[in-house]
Amino acid sequence: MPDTPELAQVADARRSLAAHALFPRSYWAVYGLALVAFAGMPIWMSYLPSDDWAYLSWVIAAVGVGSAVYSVVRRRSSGVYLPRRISAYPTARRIWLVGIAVAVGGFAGIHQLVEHAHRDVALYLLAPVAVAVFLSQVATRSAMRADIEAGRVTP
Amino acid sequence: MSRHSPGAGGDTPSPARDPLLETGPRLALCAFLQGAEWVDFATARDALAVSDSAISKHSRTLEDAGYLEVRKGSIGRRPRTWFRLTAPGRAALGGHLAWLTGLSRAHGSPAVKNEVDPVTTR
Repeated sequence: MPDTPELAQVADARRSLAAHALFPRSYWAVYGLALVAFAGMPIWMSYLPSDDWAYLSWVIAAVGVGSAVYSVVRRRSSGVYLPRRISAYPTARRIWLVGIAVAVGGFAGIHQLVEHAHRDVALYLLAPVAVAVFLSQVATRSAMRADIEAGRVTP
Repeated sequence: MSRHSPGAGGDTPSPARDPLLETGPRLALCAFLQGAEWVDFATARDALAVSDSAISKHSRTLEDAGYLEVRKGSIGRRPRTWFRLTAPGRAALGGHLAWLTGLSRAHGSPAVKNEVDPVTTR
């Protein structure tokens, strides 16, 4: 702990703000389900007749709107408006970029496997891709908290 | 996080004592606002465990000094006040924290890294 009362005050204030960067467990539960649903989209679509694909865009739009509404409601109820740009968090940005690379690479890999009639292999690949993306998102949030606590954020 | 020598440019602020930040909860309020875009009045009051009048009085002083931007509005029918640290406020906070950290080190008891880091001032 900092040894002067002033520095201790600052550390406490930053720690208090940093707590707002974390999501509740219910958020992560919903996020995990949505992640598996979206990452496995090429697989699920291969089971559906092509006529049912029209509903897919509505599902994606609903998830997007739901996510935006959750974000607005959470900011309003907490009273804390943290920077939305990931570039505001120097440490978290690096982890986020790795997570994006894994997500894009994993999705492309699953898509290619389904396209080349390797749906079973794609199903096996889905689990590690979803876990890796999930962990990268949790790590990103933890890094955002650490960045706030260390005063590294640039709103 | 890497540290640069004070005054070497980049993101590191020059140590500079700011008497304005030495009264009441002003330093803690600025530190609380440092990592956020906007913070609600009630949230800042609860986080710092001070009274409405204390937050009101000290935020006005900081606003007059140009360290704080205050925005008034409402959510539904409820009036709300939000605070934001301005660029001069960030610079003053960074300088003051660098000065405090230097003072702490000069007394042979370095502040723990990651507990208080004055680096970010943009």
